[in-house]
Amino acid sequence: MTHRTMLLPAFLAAILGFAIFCPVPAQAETVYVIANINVADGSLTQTEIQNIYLGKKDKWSDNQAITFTALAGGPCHETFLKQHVGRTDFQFQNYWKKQIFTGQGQPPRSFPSDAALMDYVSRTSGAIGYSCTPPDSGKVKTVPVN
Amino acid sequence: MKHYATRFWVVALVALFALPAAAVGMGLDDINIHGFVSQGYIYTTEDMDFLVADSHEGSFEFNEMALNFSARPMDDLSMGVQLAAFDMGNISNDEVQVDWAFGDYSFRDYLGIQAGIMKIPFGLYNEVRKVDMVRTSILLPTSVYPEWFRETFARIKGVGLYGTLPGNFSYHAMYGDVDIPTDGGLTDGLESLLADLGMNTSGTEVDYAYAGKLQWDSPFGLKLAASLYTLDGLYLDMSGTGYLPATAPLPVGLPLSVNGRLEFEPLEVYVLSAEYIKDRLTLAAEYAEYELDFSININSNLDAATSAFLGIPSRVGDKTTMQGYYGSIAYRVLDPLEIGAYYSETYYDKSDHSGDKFKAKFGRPEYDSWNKDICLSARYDISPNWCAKVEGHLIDGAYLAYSANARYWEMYAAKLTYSF
Repeated sequence: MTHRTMLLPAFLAAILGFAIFCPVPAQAETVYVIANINVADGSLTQTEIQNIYLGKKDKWSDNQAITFTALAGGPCHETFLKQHVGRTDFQFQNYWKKQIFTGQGQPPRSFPSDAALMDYVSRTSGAIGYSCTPPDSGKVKTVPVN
Repeated sequence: MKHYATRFWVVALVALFALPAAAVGMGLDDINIHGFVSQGYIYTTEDMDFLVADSHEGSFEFNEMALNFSARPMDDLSMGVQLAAFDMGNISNDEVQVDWAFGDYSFRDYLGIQAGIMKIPFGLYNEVRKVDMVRTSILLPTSVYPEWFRETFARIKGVGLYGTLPGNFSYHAMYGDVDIPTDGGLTDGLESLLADLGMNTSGTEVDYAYAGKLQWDSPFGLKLAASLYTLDGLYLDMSGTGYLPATAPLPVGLPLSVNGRLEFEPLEVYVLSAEYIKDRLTLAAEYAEYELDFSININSNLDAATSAFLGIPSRVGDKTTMQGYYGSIAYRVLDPLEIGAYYSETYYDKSDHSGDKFKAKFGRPEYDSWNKDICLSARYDISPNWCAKVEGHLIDGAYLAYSANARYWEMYAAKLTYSF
């Protein structure tokens, strides 16, 4: 039985070793949270952004529907998820697969680049997104995060 | 009758889709379609059979598939339907059924209403039991997610409320009816208790069911939840026919028929859950208790004295609090590679961890009353659509196994999943 009782602690030590000695590299991107100009909310809390991207908040303060967008991948996407949603890209994808296959929601529309995302947000009433390219204040508004 | 009911629901839901969709000018582009197929293999040692009959010989009767359609005809209204099938040995055998199908109207962030067939919110993983690609391990811990009860815990047909409250508390509650299949895991397990009488389930009935989950999401990655599920008025109509053995003091070939209604007091289950996510690390732990109180008065075609002489019981039943808990860890070592482990304990009776009362009551070994499971898993994401998993289990105890030939045994599983 010795090998059985030692196997689990050994495996746990290996996992914790990976977690401690193979940390996630620091992200250097500056992320701007942006929204369509007609969005009523002037700022958002960290929790509100997280809830938007986890599908728990789907209305602005004036009851307008929220259309949330995301980048398809990349350092900016990873930084946004880490800073504002508290998940890695894989965990985020996993979360939305759960929602899809239980009928609880659909993932954000994704875009291949900052420019494509910003263009969509500027044209879509109630839309929110993010970018690592400084946004054009004439087309979208930057949303401060409290 | 079940097939007609399935067809009716599918047609009705497609119509439900089409009418509002047509009313607001939706097209096919507005309908989201997703699906998955999972094929697994399971093998158990020491001639033990677990989850799948004949798993000791290795079995591919271990798969799930689903296809869903959903749409949002208006900002606040969404609807969808998922058809699913699964096979786990003799259970379900890939019979297509409506997994969920409901409409959802979101009034505010703190209040939404759902109506139709909905997955039961229970613990961290109940709603996604069949969805292999959303977790590290192939098999969920038996302590909180016993496969016996998979279909009993699958869905409610009724109404539900949900929302997010101040303080980042979210709730989800539902009330309605539950269909218990006559050839599912629950009936299979109960029939095994009455195996000597050869009884099978001919009908099931539930008066009502309700479920609720309250969850708190902290800003630093910790999630805490409490879930409750109750089935009231659960009945199983059971019967069996056979022939008396030649050694009986009665003519060979004399038919024996038995029947009865197995009744449950309200079946109540609760789970306390905790999950912590930090970068690539995920920790989870859950604790569950199942209040089981069931009995069946057995009627036979023989008179009472003969039945007693032949050892046919007049009443069978038990009252117990089943207990289970586990702790798990998972870490994404590389972008496509995740490893995980969990330790799970399940007991037939929370007040009888030694199994002594179980042995005295049922005449079976003590280790038939518990299941202690060390699971080690590895998952490789071949692409965004494909994932492959392998895992091994070191198990002490035979509780919930089809056979009870050994106390210590192992189980190995592999699975390949495609999703879109």
